[in-house]
Amino acid sequence: MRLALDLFTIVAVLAGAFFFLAGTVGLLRFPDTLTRLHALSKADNLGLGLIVLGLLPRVDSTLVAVKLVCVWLLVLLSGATVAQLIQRFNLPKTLVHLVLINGHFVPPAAREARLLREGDVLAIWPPIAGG
Amino acid sequence: MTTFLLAAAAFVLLLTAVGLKPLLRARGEADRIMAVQLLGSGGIAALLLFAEGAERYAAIDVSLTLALLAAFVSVALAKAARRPHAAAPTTDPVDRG
Repeated sequence: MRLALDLFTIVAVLAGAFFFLAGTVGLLRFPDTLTRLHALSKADNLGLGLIVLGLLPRVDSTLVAVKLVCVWLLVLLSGATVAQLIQRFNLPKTLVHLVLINGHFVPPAAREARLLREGDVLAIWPPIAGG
Repeated sequence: MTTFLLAAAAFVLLLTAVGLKPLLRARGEADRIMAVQLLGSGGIAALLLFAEGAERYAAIDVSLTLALLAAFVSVALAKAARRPHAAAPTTDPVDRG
């Protein structure tokens, strides 16, 4: 049992470290702000999440386990609303033509209030010009 | 196991430092917010791994503080960036073809 838990920790921590590596490479190599932010959020959400998950079986007290989960939730919160993401890119609102969450259209009035949940897929489309 | 966790902590810390370097020379608000977020999440991950590896559980409280700070700072920076007179445009030019 102990061995299985240790293995679980090792696999999860290695996977988390891999996501940090991928996120950092993305930050260094991706050409623009949008794609760099994409890379960063992978490191944030998945990397840290997997590391917390890997550490959880090694924790003895419930309080410490709750703290670990709280840390992760706070990090998710710090990057987690659609409105904040749009403002962070400093995209003018007229350039944000379509917002899709999990493939469903979010009307402009609802964008400020919609919280992203874990696992949600966000797509932001500019108006398409040219011909 | 201790060695593994400490090595993982060092690895994540190194990655955070490498990732911070270009972001700190950042051109705009968005990149600065990303630097704060990276420092938050990378620092937290390294602290948590260190706490378990070295059995210094106080480091978990430090990481909780860091998580709180990173959350507040990114909200504050996002609000500051929203003000119209705050800064020059930060995104790269949009190719509108």
